[in-house]
Amino acid sequence: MTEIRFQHVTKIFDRKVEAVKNLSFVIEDGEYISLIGPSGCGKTTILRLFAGTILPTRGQIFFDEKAMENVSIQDRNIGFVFQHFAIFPHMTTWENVAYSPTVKGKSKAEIESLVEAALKSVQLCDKADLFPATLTAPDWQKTALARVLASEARILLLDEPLGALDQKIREEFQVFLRNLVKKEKLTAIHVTHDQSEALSISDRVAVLNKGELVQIGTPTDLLFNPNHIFTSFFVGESDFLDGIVIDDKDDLAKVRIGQRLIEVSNMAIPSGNRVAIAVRREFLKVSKIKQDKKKEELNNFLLGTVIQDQFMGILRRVRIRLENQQIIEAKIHAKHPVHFNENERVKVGINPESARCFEYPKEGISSALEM
Amino acid sequence: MVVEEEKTDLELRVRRSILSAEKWLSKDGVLSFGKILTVLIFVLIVLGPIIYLLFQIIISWNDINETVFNDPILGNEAFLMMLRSIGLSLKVAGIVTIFDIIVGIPIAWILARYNFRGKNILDTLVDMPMAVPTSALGFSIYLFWGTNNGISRLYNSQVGFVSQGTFLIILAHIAFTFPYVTRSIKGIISDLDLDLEKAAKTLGAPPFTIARMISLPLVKEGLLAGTVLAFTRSLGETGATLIVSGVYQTAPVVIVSWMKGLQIPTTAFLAFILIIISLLLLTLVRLFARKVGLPWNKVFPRFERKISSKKVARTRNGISLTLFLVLVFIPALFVIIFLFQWWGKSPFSGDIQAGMIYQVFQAPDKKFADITHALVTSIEVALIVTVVNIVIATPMALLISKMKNRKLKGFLDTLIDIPLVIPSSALGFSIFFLWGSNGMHILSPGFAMIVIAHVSFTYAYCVRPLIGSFDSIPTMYDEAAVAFGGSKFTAFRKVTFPFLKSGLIAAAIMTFTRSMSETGATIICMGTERTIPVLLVDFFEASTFPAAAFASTILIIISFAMLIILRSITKRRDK
Repeated sequence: MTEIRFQHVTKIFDRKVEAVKNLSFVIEDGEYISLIGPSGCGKTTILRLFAGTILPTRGQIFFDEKAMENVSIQDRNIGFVFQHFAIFPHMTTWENVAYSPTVKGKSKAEIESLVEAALKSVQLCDKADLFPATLTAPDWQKTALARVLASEARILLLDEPLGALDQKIREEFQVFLRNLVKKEKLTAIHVTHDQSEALSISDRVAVLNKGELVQIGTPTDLLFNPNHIFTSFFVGESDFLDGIVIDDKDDLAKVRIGQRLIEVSNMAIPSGNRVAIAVRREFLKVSKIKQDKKKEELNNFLLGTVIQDQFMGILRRVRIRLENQQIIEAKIHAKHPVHFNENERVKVGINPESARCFEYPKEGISSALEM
Repeated sequence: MVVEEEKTDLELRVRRSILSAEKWLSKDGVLSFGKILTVLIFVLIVLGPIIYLLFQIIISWNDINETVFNDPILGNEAFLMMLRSIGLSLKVAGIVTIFDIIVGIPIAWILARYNFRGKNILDTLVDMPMAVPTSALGFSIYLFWGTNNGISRLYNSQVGFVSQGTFLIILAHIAFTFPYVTRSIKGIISDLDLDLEKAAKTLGAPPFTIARMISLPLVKEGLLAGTVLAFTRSLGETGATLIVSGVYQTAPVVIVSWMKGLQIPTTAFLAFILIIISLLLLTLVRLFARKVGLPWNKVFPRFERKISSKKVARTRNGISLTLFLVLVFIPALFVIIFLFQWWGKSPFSGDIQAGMIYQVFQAPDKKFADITHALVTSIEVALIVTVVNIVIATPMALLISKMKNRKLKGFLDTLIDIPLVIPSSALGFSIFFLWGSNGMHILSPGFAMIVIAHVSFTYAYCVRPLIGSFDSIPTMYDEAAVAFGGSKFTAFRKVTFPFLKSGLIAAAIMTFTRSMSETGATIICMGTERTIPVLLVDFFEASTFPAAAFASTILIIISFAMLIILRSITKRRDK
């Protein structure tokens, strides 16, 4: 097991492209970490920095308090799983798995026991003597994992490892992969663009944008307590409302949006400040204005007119223009009994706990969220 | 049990020492030394002679001025002869290239797009002239067109249909340059995305317009590369031209004949001019290839719809195939028919002493011994050249393929092409000039000099496909091989090399065939040695045609076998 520490790591390509900016974080022994972010956010560069195929322009990387700058890729004790697996096509499964111990000069007996154990771990013993061309993608994936196990690597680097698998198999593999990593007590760093994969597989998730670490935390933290406007934008689906804090005293803060006052989570932003309020689309409630008084009444709500009510499978998407002319979307269940007509006036109910406000970005919301 | 343990122990020890040797070789310092060495060898063997020749021309300008322009007896006759021969060479190369393009495109199209029985055979036949030595090809073509054994038999004439000279040179050059154009675009045409053409079709364009406006522009670069190769091959060819030219000498032939008369300064100057012309051509193409657009944006809907009809297409295909058969295929292989005609005796007089059997096996001058000796020399040279080239070309190809500095990469890449475009006789002469008594004085003409000359002009044939092989290996395999603990050399041996295997074999066969079939440089560097294509020219000059036919047939059989092996390898790789 290995603890990994990035300390003010910056990587600049061609003297001008800043791919990674001043990155600092610690990965604990045996932790499963995912890196997510839009394309070009630097996640693959970070993986290469772990592996040592590229070196930081500034800053240091430590494995168990040992600086890695002069340690070459062969000696870092890492195992790489590539997006397209990189299974050597001219070797059988067995030979692929045996590659690392063979080139490290292990004895025959050692090689055999390592390979057998690795193949057993991934349940691939019956396909040991087959060539990759005769196998399918899930088996390549298993071969790639067995190859890492046989290399006795303690750090597992996974570059979009499930990206080449079908959706159904991918979900099975998420469980398989997590169990394997935990059983073998590896430290895993997993790069993916699929946020649901990251949230379901990891101990902690790091959100990156433009080479910077936006937030690192447990999946529930990221989903329900984002502490950065980009996190709430990138993880899950949110719209952002423009408001001003009126009262920041209680557990819930009061903000004014257009002409209306609503309650949101208190993020300790002082009264009078302009804020961007992130509202999660799936937590919005939409209801008709002239409703039977007996039914549940929304009291924390905004008013608007429906632009469109669109069926999208399990969910329906209702687009609404609010009184202050901002447009938001609500995701409601497809079987929701009420259908909304175009230009119909509606109430949009907001759950205070799931609405979080952030200091209004000086450069405007859209440029703060630019990827 | 004990014995087995000892065996594994030995295996382990051997493996560990190999691994640690490879680890040492993978050290940064050792690797940079290797890179420098690779470039140095390239400069010494390939570029050195050319640079030395250019340098010497400038230094000894006075000498040249005297012999070339102000000879006390001949005046500037030598220079005028140079101009004439270069003019002829350029004219021939131009006509030949235009013909190659006009007939080559439809044939490439047929091979890429149509499926018919015997397509594979046609495909091999189109490639054949590339593998067969040009002197054998030229001899065969001469027999067919230029003597009373060939086409003139059809109308019972006593003389040939075409006499030696410009027209026969053109016919011969078409035969061996033809494959370069077809080959270079066939692959690209079959790789084109058919959806583009389908899209154009749904938008209402007739097939001819689609081919012209959609497909051909995408093939442009390949076509240009093939055209340049065809042009420079025609410009620099010696073996066939020696046989078919008669008194009309092209520039490479003039180099050979002046060299035989040991007129070193004039030869040097002519070689210099030829090299300059080739280099200019190469530079122009490299600089402007991408920028040249096809000025064909105007459409003539009616006319193009008309010539898109099935009838016209069928006629066009028929004409192209007929031209190929009549101008390339039949003349190129006619020598085999000739051999059977003259097997035991002359078909005209019945004279046994004029027959092949007597000439080769029974005549007092023991031609068969000469042939075997030359054949052995040829094979020895070709084998050595192949091994040397694989050893020096692989690191060069790797170096270029992995180079990150774009400009330097492009520059090296262009340098590699130089021996490909320079006439081999001029290249052979510059090697003679640098290594022989006029330069470093290390070698005199003979076996070793032939080997160096051949290494020099086959170098590009080796490097070029290997760069392609390296480029086609996905980088993830290299990364994986190193990430799992192999040193760079171990990763190369265990992972990169197996990917390279078929590419290496293909490069080796290309090199071997080119070396086997070369004439121009060999004549200049051979001294008293003889390779088989040169012996063929000797037999021809001594008018012992049946013996020449015997040697030609052997050469054709060998190169044909090579070609078939090469095709089966590249085909397996494509799968």
